[in-house]
Amino acid sequence: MSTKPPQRSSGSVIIALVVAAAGLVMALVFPRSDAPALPAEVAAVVAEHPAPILLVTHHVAYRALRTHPDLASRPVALLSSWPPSSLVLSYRDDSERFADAGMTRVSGQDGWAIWEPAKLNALPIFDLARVETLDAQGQATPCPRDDAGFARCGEPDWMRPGPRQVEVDGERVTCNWAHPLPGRTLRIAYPEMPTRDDQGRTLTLLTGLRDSSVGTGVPVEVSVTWGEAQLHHTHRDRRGWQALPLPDDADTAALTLDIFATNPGRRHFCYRFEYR
Amino acid sequence: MRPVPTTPFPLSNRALLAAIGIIAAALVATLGYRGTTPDGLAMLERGLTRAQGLRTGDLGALLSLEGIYVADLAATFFSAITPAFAARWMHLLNIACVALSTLFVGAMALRLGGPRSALAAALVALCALPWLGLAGAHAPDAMIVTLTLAFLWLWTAPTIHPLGIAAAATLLAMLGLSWIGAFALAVLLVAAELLGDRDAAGGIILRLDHLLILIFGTALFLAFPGFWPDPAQTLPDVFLEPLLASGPELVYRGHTYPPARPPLTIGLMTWVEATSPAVLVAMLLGLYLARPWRWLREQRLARALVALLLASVLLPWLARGPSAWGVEMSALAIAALAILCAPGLAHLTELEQGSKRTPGFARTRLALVAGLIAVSIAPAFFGPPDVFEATRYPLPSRVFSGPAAHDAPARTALLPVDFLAEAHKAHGAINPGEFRATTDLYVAMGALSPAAIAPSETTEDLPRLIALPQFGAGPTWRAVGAGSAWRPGTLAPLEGGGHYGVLLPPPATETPSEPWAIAP
Repeated sequence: MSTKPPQRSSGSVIIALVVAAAGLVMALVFPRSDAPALPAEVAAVVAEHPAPILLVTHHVAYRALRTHPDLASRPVALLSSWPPSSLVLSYRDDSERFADAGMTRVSGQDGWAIWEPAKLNALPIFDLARVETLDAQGQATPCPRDDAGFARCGEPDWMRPGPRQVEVDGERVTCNWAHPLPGRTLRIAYPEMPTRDDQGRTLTLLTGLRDSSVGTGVPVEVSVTWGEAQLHHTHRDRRGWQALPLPDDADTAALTLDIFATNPGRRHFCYRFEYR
Repeated sequence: MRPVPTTPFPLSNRALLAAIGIIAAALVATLGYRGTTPDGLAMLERGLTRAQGLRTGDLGALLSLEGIYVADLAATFFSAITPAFAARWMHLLNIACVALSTLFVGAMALRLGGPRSALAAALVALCALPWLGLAGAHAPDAMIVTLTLAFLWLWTAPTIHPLGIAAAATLLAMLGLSWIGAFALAVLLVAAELLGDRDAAGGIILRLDHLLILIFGTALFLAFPGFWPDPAQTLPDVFLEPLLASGPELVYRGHTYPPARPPLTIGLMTWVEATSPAVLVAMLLGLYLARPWRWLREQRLARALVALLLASVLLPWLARGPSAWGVEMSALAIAALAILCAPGLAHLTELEQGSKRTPGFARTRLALVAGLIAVSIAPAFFGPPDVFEATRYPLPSRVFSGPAAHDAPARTALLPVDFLAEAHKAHGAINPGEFRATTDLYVAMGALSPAAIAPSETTEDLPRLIALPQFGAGPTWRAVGAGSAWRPGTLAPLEGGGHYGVLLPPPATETPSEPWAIAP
């Protein structure tokens, strides 16, 4: 059987070639769009807003913010939990979902929108943290983020610190999973942040163990560097949250947590923050 | 019966195929080395580890099925022979893979429509960015593409020598060990055979040589020593692990998946948006003129190519990602379409005699073909370094009533070496941060100047390589991509970083009282 094409009239082929030429033109006039820039009005609103952290919905918004010279020092993070806890910059996103989350549109232009939550959260966000492990000689190894934003300090799931739902004291809460690692110290370093919220309450570190893992008797040690202050917190092997208030000597401070356990087996440790 | 061209083709078939292979190798070698992905880096590291195991007499190092097995074997081979140059040899192997794949495309098109078809098919494939992009990176899937096309070439041969059956069975077993998608493709190929061939009574048949290939291939697959002595544990793992594993979340056309399964069009759209409209329109024109659906029943090769095309559309959907279990299906789809449309494109060369109304047609035709080739291939040579990773030809979003394609991130996390070189040229040495393993590889390969990378992590005041955050959380989905984007600084105005950017340190500020610092 032949695969020879049927004899067509040259007229129809010429029409087809004209279509091919149109394809060529399409290739020329449809180049990849450049990253859109932030309109001046939106940039001005962002610059003057008191939110401590600006959240972005995707890389287009991140790129626009980080290419704006006036906003270079603003802390920016990927919107990592829902509903958003801080100011959100979005580009061509579905506005309905932000409205459903009780957010208010502060400004918008050319597809860009700034969304403000009903209550701004100034708590440290895990997405802002640098995560690394320290060996016995103090040599640091960074933990790269995986596709879901968890810090990959090892291949098993329990070696990936990040926000998870954990049952502590009979209640499922979102906290930062930070299982101590065998033979290494887990270091989680947050950038400079306010030591008090807008009501004057001070930052407090709350540590907990998953209820099902309590009972081995091994404590989890947490060395805290809070600005200039060095603190130590031992989380005893008990159910419930154990608190460490952080001093508010300065207006802002960087926070570093060094987490370690002599026997990390079944130490399903997690922590969160509150202003108290 | 083969189509008889109006004028004899100036080259013999062998010379033509040799020329296609040489031109393909020269073209992709000219494009040079582009960089590596985390998968490529992991493959090279596994190769080094396995080679070290072999040196200590641990043959078990060869039996682990972690990544794409055939690529791992090649990396182990080169690491054992020349550890310092293994990465460079793996790049050269990829170039060879693309040249061989183009040759197989030409060979199958030759079988389908003659030498002009072979030339047309090879040209169409070489003008498509997803095809060219295979060669420039440490892409483990380039070997899968080559093996698949080699297998198809044997599978669709009108007559096959016993040695050909053995070779096809070996290829099938190797594909099965390397990529779970090979099983789905084999099922589709068998289905295409059964649907096409009928015996005299109208019943379905499977040719004996195909039956032998399947039996011997399965036997070879099962004989893999890594499955023994615990087949009850290891064999199900090969099939179930990739199917049941909760893969990374996917961003596609402005949405994240899961929670939902991605749309069925994900495979098709992924390579349509990466391929120049000039190539796509040429393909459609060729398909229109060739009308391959007319000879599906009679042509085993055409049926097999349709099965391959179907696999390239369905497998990404099944695997919940633009690549099906680590293998980009774009190249396989382009190969299938290039071969199917080639007889139609070749037919254009025979039109002068039938064309009475257009005496200048031959001249404009040559100019048009040259223009199409130039427009298609120009981005590969003159485009930004991430041209193979970015969605270069976004379709109008209104067509799909969804977010614009450029809202999606780059398709692969390849770190373009040319981007780093440009960043070094514009901003000096770069602190590679957590990507030091990749930049060290580039320096060791000689693809990047050692001066481009800062020697120590303590250099915080240098421009820093960062992974861009990809897609934020929503009411029912989680965030995807690097979250730790808080670092202050201005993104360097450089194009072509794909997933990556270079953050320039902010100028020292004299007044610390930013308005966002909340006062008590």
